Amino acid sequence: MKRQTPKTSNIEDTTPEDKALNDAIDRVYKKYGNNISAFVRDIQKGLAVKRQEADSHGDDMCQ
Amino acid sequence: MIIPNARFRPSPTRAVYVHGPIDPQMVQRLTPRVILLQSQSRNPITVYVDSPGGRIDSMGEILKLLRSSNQDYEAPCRIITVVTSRAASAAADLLSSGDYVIAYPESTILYHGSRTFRDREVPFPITVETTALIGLMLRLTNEKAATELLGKIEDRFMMRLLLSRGRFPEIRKNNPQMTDAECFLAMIAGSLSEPARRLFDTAKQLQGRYDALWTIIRKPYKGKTGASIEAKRIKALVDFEVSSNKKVKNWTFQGAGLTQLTEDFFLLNDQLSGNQSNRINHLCNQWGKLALDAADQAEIDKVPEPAKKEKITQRVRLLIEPVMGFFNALCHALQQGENNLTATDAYWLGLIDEVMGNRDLPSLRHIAEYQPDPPPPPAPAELGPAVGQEPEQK
Repeated sequence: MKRQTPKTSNIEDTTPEDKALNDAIDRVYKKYGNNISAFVRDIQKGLAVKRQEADSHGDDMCQ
Repeated sequence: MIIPNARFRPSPTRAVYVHGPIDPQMVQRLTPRVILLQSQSRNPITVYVDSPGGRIDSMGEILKLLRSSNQDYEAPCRIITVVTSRAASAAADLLSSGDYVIAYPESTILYHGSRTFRDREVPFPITVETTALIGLMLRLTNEKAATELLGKIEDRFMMRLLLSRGRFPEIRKNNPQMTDAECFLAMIAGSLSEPARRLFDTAKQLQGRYDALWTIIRKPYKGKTGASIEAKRIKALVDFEVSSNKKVKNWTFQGAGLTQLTEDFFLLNDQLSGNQSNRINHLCNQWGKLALDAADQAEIDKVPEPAKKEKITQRVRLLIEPVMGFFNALCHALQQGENNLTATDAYWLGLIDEVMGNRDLPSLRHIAEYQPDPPPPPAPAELGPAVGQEPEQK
């Protein structure tokens, strides 16, 4: 059995899903470069703020 | 800043509910609803799952229906699967088939190998020959399921690997020689429940075995026909089995040896076909820029443009290959025994994308929904005079 030569270019196989993911990765890369840890930290900070807001809103509702 | 994207958000108004055993009655019940949703728009369809599993053929029918195109050959609707409480057996397979998979925090997911194929009633008398045939078909079904699963989870583990890198220096403190792949796997192992840890250990053992087999099988065997090359590979596998089972008491080919040989042969054929290599290249292209560290990036920046992509692929392959090897073994380990996993286990093992409401577990959605913050509004001095106010005279 002959081993197939691995493809290095997948331009012709790019699906809309792949393109959407590529664009998303580009957006993150533009802001954070390869410092992905900073991206994760920012996301988690943002979620923590949202959580706090939701909790305080819940407190207001109870009053 | 996170802008919600419907492709990653479940929608109860465009949903079907897989509750209870998966059987022909369920297919009958869901069909009109799926067709209606598909006719309304090509927006994602959410599949809520709470099921003990059931018939693989019925699950396949539901999936085929969900993935169907329309008269205008439009792309199938994207499928978001959500386990609310329990997804076992065929329901776990359905869950994993989603384009985006979410688990509620207290939900559980059970994976195991195939027990039936196409028709539940075996359509022939049970004899020694047909029993062997059933065994072979179940093995092939498991092999196919493992390969398909690997294709579904690769973006997840790639993303987990990249998003976890910030924690590697801490893991390396005790052993500075650890590679990124080793740090990643150590981090996963430390995040799992006890049953999932056993699954992880099985996968690690399998990975060691596959690596040893791969070293033997990848040699350039020569032969006049495909069959003669296959024969040489099989002989090499036979020698490997004999040598690695030397110390196992009563080990024979008639016992478990021949079964193992068959499984290895099919597994390695997939690797030899180049499928895995192509998938790794694809992952390198997709995620490459995020995977390089500053030193790699500086080196690649020196390379002329046409050769850059190839260089990135070469560099990122070194990172991905061992991780891909582990997840390949994991997909096979999931086909053995009963593997009951929590939502968090499933997240770390790449079987789901997101645990609902858990902000410590970042997901693909966060990358997809990320948008740069808009520029801050100009300071009042830059705005010019307010309406009705005379400009300042110099």
